[in-house]
Amino acid sequence: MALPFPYIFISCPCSDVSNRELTSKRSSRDVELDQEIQDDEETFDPRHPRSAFSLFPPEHLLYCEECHEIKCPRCVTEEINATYCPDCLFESPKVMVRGEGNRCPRNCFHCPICTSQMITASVGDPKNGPFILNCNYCMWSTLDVGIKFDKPTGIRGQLDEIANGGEQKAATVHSPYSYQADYARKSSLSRPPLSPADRDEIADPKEDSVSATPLDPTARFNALKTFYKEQITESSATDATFSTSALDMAYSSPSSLQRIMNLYTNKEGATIRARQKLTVMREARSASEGFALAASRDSGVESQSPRIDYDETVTASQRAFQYPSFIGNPAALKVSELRPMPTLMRTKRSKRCATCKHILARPELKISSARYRIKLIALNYVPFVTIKPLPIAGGLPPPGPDGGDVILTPGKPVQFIMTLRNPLFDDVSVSLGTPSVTPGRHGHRVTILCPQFRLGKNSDAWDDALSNNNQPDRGTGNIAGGEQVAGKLYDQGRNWASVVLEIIPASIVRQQSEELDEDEDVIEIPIRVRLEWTVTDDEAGMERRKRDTRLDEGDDIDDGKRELNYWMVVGIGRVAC
Amino acid sequence: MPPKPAVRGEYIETETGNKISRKASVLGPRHIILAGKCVIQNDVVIRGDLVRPAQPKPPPQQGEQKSATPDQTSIHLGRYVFISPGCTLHPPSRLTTVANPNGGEPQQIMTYFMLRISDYVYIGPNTHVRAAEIKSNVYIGANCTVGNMVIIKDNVKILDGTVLPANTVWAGGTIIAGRPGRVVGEIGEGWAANGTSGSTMDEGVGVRSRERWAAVGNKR
Repeated sequence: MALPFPYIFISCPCSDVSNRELTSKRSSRDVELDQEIQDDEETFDPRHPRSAFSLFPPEHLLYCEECHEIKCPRCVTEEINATYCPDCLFESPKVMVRGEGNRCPRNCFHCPICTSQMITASVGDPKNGPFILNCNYCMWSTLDVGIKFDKPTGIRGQLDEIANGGEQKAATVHSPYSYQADYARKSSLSRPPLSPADRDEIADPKEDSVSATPLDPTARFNALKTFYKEQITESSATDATFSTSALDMAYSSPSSLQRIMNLYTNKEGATIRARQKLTVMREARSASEGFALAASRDSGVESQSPRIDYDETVTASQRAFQYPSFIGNPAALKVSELRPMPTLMRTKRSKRCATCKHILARPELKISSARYRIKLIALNYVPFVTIKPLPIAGGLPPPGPDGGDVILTPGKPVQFIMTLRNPLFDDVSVSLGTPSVTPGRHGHRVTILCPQFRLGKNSDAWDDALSNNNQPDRGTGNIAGGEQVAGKLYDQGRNWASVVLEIIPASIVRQQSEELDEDEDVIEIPIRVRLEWTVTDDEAGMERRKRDTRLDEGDDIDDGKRELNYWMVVGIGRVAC
Repeated sequence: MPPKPAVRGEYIETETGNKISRKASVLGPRHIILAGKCVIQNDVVIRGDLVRPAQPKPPPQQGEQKSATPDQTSIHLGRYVFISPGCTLHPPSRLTTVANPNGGEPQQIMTYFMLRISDYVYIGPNTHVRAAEIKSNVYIGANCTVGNMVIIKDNVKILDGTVLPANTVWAGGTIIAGRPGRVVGEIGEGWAANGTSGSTMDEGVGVRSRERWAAVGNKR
């Protein structure tokens, strides 16, 4: 377990489908009773393979005010509010992001060798360059692949035009997703289709300049795409059933749907028309159209796999880092063929409850701000739990605030103090339930000395000072005052209470040959937490009145009573074995 | 107010709640600012002496000259900053172009800048920090290296043994691990509370930081 002891996980109720269905019908009393009985029967097993998917650290959980439920990352939907580069913290407009391959369009790059961030450095005059990208971790620089930049800014644009080795790239590479790639081709009406004679005139001069240097795969793809689009436009220009919008592969557009439907409905018409007009599509035949000669067999063996030193070869992860191919070079064999990769963008996302669509978290739009406009985190509703060993002679030494490795001796009872701190501004009654023997192969005995108690309301420190004199009388009869007495709290404060948790670790017996499973010696205690409170603050009162007016419509009446049930898993320590 | 009775414990405790181990070596203490409730444990080395030299006539037209006042501060720690044993805090440095006082070509000299650490920052044992800025609610594990001029934004958790190369920027809300460091996950919304002060809301970082602070100190 990577986490230091003690740790707390909360199981989101969404994982248990039956449980969820029952709790959603809050009004009917008997269903809840059923559920209680059911809960008593089956305890949550933190070791069950399924439970791993529902356990979350408390800070990852949200709380929906409408559903009155804990929401884990699986029961929220996310919306992207802003896209930004995590290295330069510049925001990119949504329209641009796609065309740029979800990568930083400015100067941020990552090292193709070690994936670290790269720094623009000058080789020569500090002001006038030339400039290179340098990795401060593995000391790789773009000089290693023969790339230098004239300006320290707009490096992405400059790099797009330079091939490894420093020569100009064969053709300007467009992203296949780019909006600018061939926007004018969207509709043939905006531009008359090219006649064959026209095209030959245009293509020929290009051919001379380009054919010397073969296109790289992306440019070839784009060239072939435009070429075949033109071919389709020509061959079907007179065919009424074949609309031009189909060329963009817009399957969801109504016109292409109609075209497909036509194929089925007037079969005869289509065949007649096909016989009437037989235009033959020609294939690409020049390099500018994307045509490339496959390397012939005998010369191919030599050129396909030249001798490369092992040191010069790329690793699988380095190749994977080079995707997509219109930015990097995922076909690279040698280290010298790798290219620095622009930084992937990150997003600021707001979260909604998946069931009621209420916003649970919405960050501020400013990239530099780490704050949230709306943030309904579960820790504002459920008690914050801390666990410490009981300070008695012969007990465990107190761990650091960040925990550590706790080792318990089997068979020897150990006491812990579990402190629950109430974040709500209302009194909460808490009942804790735990199986007396933990589920799993090794049954450790667990006892909570005081399973039912009341937590005082949270209040500002100022309120606390004002009402200081009448505070101590609350629940005095229930405090054991630092003693371990069954049925009594260990200690209590304004908005917190401590209970004693006793554990008798079972000894782990194993045969000589038997290997212990991973983390089998860890003691994890499932605790069922049930919270009940009545909302009293003004805001909820307003809500209640609003609900009251809707009463005749047959809605649920919100009496301000809230109830929350969840399983909490406490990792206490390891058993010595 | 009468002076506190001198307690000869392991820690020097100040009025503002700072706890500084007597076994820590703090160099150039007059260049170090502690905002309060900071803990500096044993065997920590703080190089406050590496301060930008006072410049009687600051050279004009330099971009970095904006920060005129922190000339004399080399290290600034916010509230509830916890420095574990064996750490090193070293101010970042950079070559800057300065006009030659004797006239002629401008020179490039190594200049130290300020290491600014905001509130609720934990730095684990044996970690070397040479960052330019570490914002609030940052957890840095043990045996990490935070390189020269690194900038770490709010709400970041850095796992043990991570190396952050020099001059890198780390956006907020992430978990970072590895050598070199890379983003391995996201931090939950509940990692840190809203910036609103005065509330007693309990959230992971705040509670932990306060507990950490309370756990060390002289035995009374």
